[in-house]
Amino acid sequence: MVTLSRVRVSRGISKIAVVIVVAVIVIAIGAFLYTSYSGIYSAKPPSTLTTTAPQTTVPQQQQAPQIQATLTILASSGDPTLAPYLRLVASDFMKANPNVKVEVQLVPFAQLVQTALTALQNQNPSPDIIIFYPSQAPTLGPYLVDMRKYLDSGVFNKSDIPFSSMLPVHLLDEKGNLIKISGIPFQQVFGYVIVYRKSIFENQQLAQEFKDKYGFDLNPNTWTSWDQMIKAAEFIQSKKESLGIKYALLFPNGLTQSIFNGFVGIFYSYATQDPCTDVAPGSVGGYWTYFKEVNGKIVPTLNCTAGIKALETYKKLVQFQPPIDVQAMEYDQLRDFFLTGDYAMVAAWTAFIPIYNNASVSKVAGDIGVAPLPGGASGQAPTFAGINPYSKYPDLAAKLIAMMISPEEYRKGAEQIGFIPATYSGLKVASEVPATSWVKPLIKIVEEQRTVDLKRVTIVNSITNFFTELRPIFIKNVADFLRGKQSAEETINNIVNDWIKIMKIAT
Amino acid sequence: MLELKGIVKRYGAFELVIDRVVFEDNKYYIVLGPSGSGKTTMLRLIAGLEVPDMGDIIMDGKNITFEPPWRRNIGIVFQNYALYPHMTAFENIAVPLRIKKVPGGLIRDKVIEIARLLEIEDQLYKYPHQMSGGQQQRVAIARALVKEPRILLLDEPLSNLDARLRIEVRGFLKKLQRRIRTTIIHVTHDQEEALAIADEIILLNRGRIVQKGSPEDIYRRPRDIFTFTFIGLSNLVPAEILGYGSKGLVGFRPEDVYIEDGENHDLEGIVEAIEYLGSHSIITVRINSTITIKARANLERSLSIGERVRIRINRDRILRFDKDQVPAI
Amino acid sequence: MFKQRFFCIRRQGFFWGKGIRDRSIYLLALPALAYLVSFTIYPILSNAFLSFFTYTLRGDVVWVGFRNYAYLAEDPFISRVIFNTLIYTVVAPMITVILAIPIAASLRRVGGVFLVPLSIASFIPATTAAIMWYLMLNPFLGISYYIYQYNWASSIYTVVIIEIWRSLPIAVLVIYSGLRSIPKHIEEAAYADGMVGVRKFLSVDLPLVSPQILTAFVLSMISGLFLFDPIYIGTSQAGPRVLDNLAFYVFENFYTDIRLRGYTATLIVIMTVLSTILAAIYIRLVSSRTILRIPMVSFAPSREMPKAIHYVVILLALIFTLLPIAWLLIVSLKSPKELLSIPPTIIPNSPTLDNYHYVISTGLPYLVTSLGIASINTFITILLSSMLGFAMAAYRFGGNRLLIYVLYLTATPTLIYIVPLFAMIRFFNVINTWWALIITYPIMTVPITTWIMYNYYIKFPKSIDEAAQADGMNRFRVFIKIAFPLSKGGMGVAAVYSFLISWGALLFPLAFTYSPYDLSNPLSFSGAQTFSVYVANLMSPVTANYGAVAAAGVISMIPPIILLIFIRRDLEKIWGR
Repeated sequence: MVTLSRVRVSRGISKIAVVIVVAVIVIAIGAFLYTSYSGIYSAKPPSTLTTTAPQTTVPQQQQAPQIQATLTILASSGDPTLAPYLRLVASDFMKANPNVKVEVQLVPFAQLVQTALTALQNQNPSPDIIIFYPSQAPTLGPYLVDMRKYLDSGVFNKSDIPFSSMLPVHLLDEKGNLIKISGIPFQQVFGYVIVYRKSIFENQQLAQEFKDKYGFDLNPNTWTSWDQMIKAAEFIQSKKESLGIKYALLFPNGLTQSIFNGFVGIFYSYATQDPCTDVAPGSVGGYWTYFKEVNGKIVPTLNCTAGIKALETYKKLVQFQPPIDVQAMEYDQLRDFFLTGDYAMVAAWTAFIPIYNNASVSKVAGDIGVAPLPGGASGQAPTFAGINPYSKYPDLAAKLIAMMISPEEYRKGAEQIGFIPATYSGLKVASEVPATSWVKPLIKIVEEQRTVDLKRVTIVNSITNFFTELRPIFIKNVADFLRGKQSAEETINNIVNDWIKIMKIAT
Repeated sequence: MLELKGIVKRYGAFELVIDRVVFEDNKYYIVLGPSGSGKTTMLRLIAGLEVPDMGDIIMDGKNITFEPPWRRNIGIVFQNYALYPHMTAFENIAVPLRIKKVPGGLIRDKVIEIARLLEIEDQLYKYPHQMSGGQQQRVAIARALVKEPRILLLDEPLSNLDARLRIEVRGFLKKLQRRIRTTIIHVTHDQEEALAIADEIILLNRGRIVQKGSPEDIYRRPRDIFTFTFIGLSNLVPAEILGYGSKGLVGFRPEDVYIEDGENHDLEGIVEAIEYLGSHSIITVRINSTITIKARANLERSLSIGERVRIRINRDRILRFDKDQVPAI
Repeated sequence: MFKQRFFCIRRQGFFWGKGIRDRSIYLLALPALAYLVSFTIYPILSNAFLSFFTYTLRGDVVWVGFRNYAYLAEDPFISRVIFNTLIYTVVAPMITVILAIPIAASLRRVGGVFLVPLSIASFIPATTAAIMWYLMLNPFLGISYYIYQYNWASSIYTVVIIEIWRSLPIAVLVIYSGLRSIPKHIEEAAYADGMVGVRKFLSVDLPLVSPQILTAFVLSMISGLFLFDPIYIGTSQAGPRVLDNLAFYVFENFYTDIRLRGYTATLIVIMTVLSTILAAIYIRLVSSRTILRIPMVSFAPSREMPKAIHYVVILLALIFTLLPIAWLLIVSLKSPKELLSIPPTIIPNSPTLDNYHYVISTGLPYLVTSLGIASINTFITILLSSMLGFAMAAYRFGGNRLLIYVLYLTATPTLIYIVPLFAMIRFFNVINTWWALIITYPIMTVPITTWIMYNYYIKFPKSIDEAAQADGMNRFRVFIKIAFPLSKGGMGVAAVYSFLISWGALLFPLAFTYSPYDLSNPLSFSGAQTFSVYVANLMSPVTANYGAVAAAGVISMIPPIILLIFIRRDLEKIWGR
C-alpha cells in the first residue's frame, strides 16, 4: 500500500506539472505565431542558380592553425574500404596539422542524403565534408560549395582528375552553362565489371575446349561483344555439374536500382552503333543516352533500334540465374550470392571485390579475376567529397580533400586497405600494389572515354522527375519484359509513351 | 447563518424550488424527504458541488453561490464515507489541515484531539479497508470536522449501518453536535432518525419544502396530508365516518386510538393483523371493506386475529384535512 | 423572463460545464489540450493551406490554386497507390476479422492461456515484424526456399500478410472479450432452446458480439491506413511505387524533392479526408453499440464441435504467430558464412552470438535513444493524458465535443501532420535531437491514452472527488493528491500503450532525425535515431546484414515481451474494452 511519503512525491509532481504546463503553452503560442507570420517552409539551397558559393560569416583568422578546429566528415557505411581510408587520411592530416581534429561520422547508405540535406537546409556548420555518390549528386550538389575555385587555384591537381569521373558533379543552368562543380572524386568504383572465377575461366583445358568450339577466348578480358559473353555463359552453364556451380552468370536485374543501372551499359554499347540515338562512339556512358534534343525538345532515344537490341540482349544475360520472380538481383544479392560459389561470374561493382576476397565469408576468396564488360559498357561510380558552405573552415576542408587525393595517401590506402583511388596517378599506384593490382585492366575505362557534350550529358538533371517517376516506369516495364509478360517492342513503346506523357522539364 | 434564497435547480423533469430557507447557527437540522424529493440536491447546493440555475446561497451575509466547495467553510460526510483508500485514518483526517498549510505539529495535535472526541484514537494508523463501517464513518466525520467548518453536512450518514449501531450513532451525533457547537445539516429519508435527533426538520417533497419546524411541530401539527403520513404511523379516514362533515379527511396517530370494551366507542371492526414490537403492538383493525385503522395496544390486553373490537379515538388529537387543498398522497 | 433564461445559460456553462468560479480545471486540461490543438489542428489547417502552393528549388512558395489537385488525375502512380491503400485498409482487415472469429471462439472453449503467446505479434515493433517476415520469405535464404521459391518481397500481398499478422491479436482479443461478456443466462437460454455448437455460435454468439467484430474491423482498418513499416522495408526489394500506399507515397514525395512538397500536402489532404471518414465510423461505433442481425443459419450443424478442432485452430494460430519469430531467432544465431549458405540451415551448425555483439557495439546509441525517448514520452503522455482524462471524466470538461475530438485523433494517422511538424521542428532548431522526438511523440500517444484514462476515470468514485473538494482541494489538487495516486490501474494500461507505440515508432524518427545519439556528448541530446531506424537501416540493400538485422530484431522484441509478461493477466483490460 501507499505510505505517507506519497504526499510529498505528489507535491513534486505538481511542480513538474506546472513547469510542463507553462512550457507547452509557451511552445504552442510561439509556434503558432511564428508559423502564421513567416514562411518557414522555405528551405533555400544557398547557391543553386548563382555562380558564387555563399560566404561564411566566419572571418578568415579562425582558420589559422593555432585555433583548435574540428572537421567532420559525413560518409555512408557499407563500403568496407571507404571508412578505413577516411580514417587513415584523417589521422595523417591531424599529424600534419596538430591543432585540427578530424572526425568521421558514418550513416547508413539509405540515410545519407536525408542526413546531409537536413544539415544543409538548416545551415548547420557540421558536417564540413560530405561524401556522396553520383546518384546523390543532383540532390546534394545545389547545396554544396563550388569546387572550381580550388581547382583553379591548384589546391587540387585538375589534370590528374579524370574528367569523365567529374561529370556527375557538374551543375548546369538551363542554357547549358556550367555554374558549379559540387565535388571532387577521390575513390573510384567501376561498375558493372565482370568478376569471374579464375579457376574456371583460366582453366587451360576448359579454355582450349571453348576456343576450339567457339573460335574466341574464354578469358573475359578478351570479349568484345555481348554475344561472346552470352556464348561463354552458355558454355559454362552446360558444364555446371562438372564445375560444381549452379549458374554461369549473375547479372543485375533488381527491381529498385539494378535494372535501371544494369541496363544503361548494355544500351550504351548498342547506342554508339546506332545513329538514331546520336551517341558518339568513345563518349562517356550514362543515363543521358536515353535522351536527345531535337529542335530544342528533349525526346527519348530508347525507341531507336538500339533499345530493342539492348533489351533482347538483357534478357539473354539474365537467363542463367534464378528467374526474376524467384529472386531479383539487387545490390545485396550481387554482393552476397557470388560468395556462395554457386556462380561462375557476376556483373558487379568493384567495391564488392574486397568482400569476395574475404575468406571468412566467401567461398571464392582468392579465385577472383576482373574484366570490363564488353562494348565499353562498364561505367564509373566515383565517390565524391563535397564541402558544406556553412562550414567554419571551408579552406581547411579543401586541404583535407587535397590530401585524400594525394598519391602518398593513395599508396597507403591501396596497401593497407585495398582502397581504389580516383586519380590517374592514384590508379597507377594502386595497380602496382599487389592487393589492388586487379584494377589494372579497368584503368582503360577512365582513360578511353573522353568525348563529352556537357550539355547533353547533364540533360537528365533538367528532367525533374527522372528518378522519382521515370525510373519506376522503366523498371516496371523492363521487369515485365524479363518476366515474359510483354515483348521488347511493347516494353519500349510503353516506356517511351509514358515518359513523354509525364516528363517534367525544369524551366 | 446560512440562507438559501429563490433557488431553482432543474434536472430534466425534476425541479427543486426553494423560496427561502434559513439555517441558524449551532442547530441540528435534518433535511427529510422520500427519495427523489430533492434533499440530496439541496445538500449539494449548500456544499457547492452544484450551482443553482437561479437564486443565491448566502453564508454570514456573503453570497457564496458560485464559490467552489473548497472555498466554502463546510465539511461533508458522504453516505459511503469516501475515505481516501491510499491513506491511513490519520492521513485522511489530516488532509484538510495539510491543504490549509497548518504546521505539522499542530496537525498532529488536532488530529489526535478530534480522534479522541470520536473515540478512534486506536484506529489512526489503519487503512480504510482495515476498519469496520462504523469506524470508517467516524474517520469520515473526523475528517469533516477537523478543520472546524461553519457547517457540517451529513449525507444519509446512518444508512450503511446496522440497526443497533444506527441508534447508537444517532445518539452520538446529537451529543457530538452539543459538544462542538456547530451547525449540522443532516440529510435522511428516515423519519424516525429525524424525530430522534433534529432540532429542526426540513421536510421536502417533490422538490419543494413542505414544512419546517421542530420534530414535535412536524409530528403533531403537520401542515398537510403528506407530512402527516410521511412522519410516523398514521391513520387517514374520510371525515364523515367520525362525524366531521361529509367533506375531507381526518387523520390521527395509532397512539391516539384506544381499543376498549366500553360503550363510549367511535368505531367497530375486526382485528386483521397484529405486529408485535416488544414494548407494544400495532393492531390493524378493519372497519369496512375500504378502511383500516392502526392502533397501538399495550401488552396487557391479548387480542387475536378475527376478534371483534371497539375503538375509541382521542378527539383532541384528530387532524382535519381539507381534501381539495392538500396534495394527494 | 429573458433575464431568467439568460442566467440559466450562463450558469450551466455553454461549453465548459459548470458555472463554478474555478480556474484550476484549466490547469488540468490545458496542457494536453494546448498541445493537441497546436500539434494537430494547426498542422491540419496549415497542410490544407499548403496544398494550394508549390515550391521552387530555391524554396520559394508559389500559389498554384487547384493545380496540385488537378495533378492527382495525371499522377502516373496514384491509381496504383490508391489500389494498394484499399487492399491494405479493406481487404487485410476483412481477412483479419474472418481469421479472428474462429480463433476467439476456440480460445473461449480451450481457455485464455494461449492469449499471451498469441499477443506477441501486436507487441513487437512493426519494423521488426516486417523484417522477420521478409527474412523468412527470402526465396533462397529463408524458409521459403523449402516451401515455394518466389520473390515474395515484390508482392503487395506479403505486406497484407504482415499487416494481418500484426493486427490479428488485437482483433482476437476484442472479439474474445466480447464473447466472454455474453451473459450466462443468454447462453443457458440458447441451450434450453436446443442450440449448441456452430448453430448456437452463428445465431446467438455472433450477433451478440457483432459490435466487437465491427470494432475489431475498424481498428484493423485504421491500422491498415496507417501502414508504413512493411512497405518501407519491402520497397528496397520490390522496387519503387510497387508496394506504396498513400502513407508511404506521401513520405517518399516528402523526402524526394522539395518541389513536390505542395503536392505532398495535397496527398495528405486526401489522406486526412479518408481517415476522417474512417474516424467518423469508428466514433459512431464506439458511441452506439448496435447489434447486427444475422439471418438464421439452419444448415449449420447444431452440435458441439469436438475440442480437438479448437486445439487445431489454436495450434495453427500459434504457428502463424510464432514461426517468423522463431526464424528470426535462428537467423540471429548464424555465422556470416552460414547466413549465405543455400539451402539455408534450419538449425545453425555453429550458433554464435557475434551478431548480438555487433548490434550491441554498433546499435548502442540507438538503443539508448529508443529507451530514453520511450520512457520520457510515456511519462509525459501519462501526465498529460491523465490530467485531461480526469478533467473530461470527472467534470465533463469540453463535453462531447472534446471527447469526439480525442477519439478522432486516435483514429487518424500521425503521418498527416508530418509536413508542418517538420517545419515546426526546424523552427525550434531541434532537428536530430531528442527534443524533436520528445515534442512530437505525444501526438502518437496522448489521444489514445486520454481515451483510456477517460474511460478509467469515468468509473472513479464521484464521492471521493467531492469529499476532497469539501476538504479544501481545488480540482487540480484533487487530481494531484487523490486521483493521480489512485489511478495505477488506468495509468498502467495507458503506459503500456504509450511505451509500445513509442518503442516501435519509425516514421517520426525517420523524418526528424538523421544520426545516432552522440554518446560522447550525452548532454547535447543530439543525434536521435531510434532503434527502429537502426533495424530498418540494417535491412537496406547496401548494408543488408541479415544476421545483425535478426539480432537487432530480437533485441527490439525484448522490452515489449517483458512488458507482455508483466501484464499477461490484464491483457483483456488492455484491448478488450
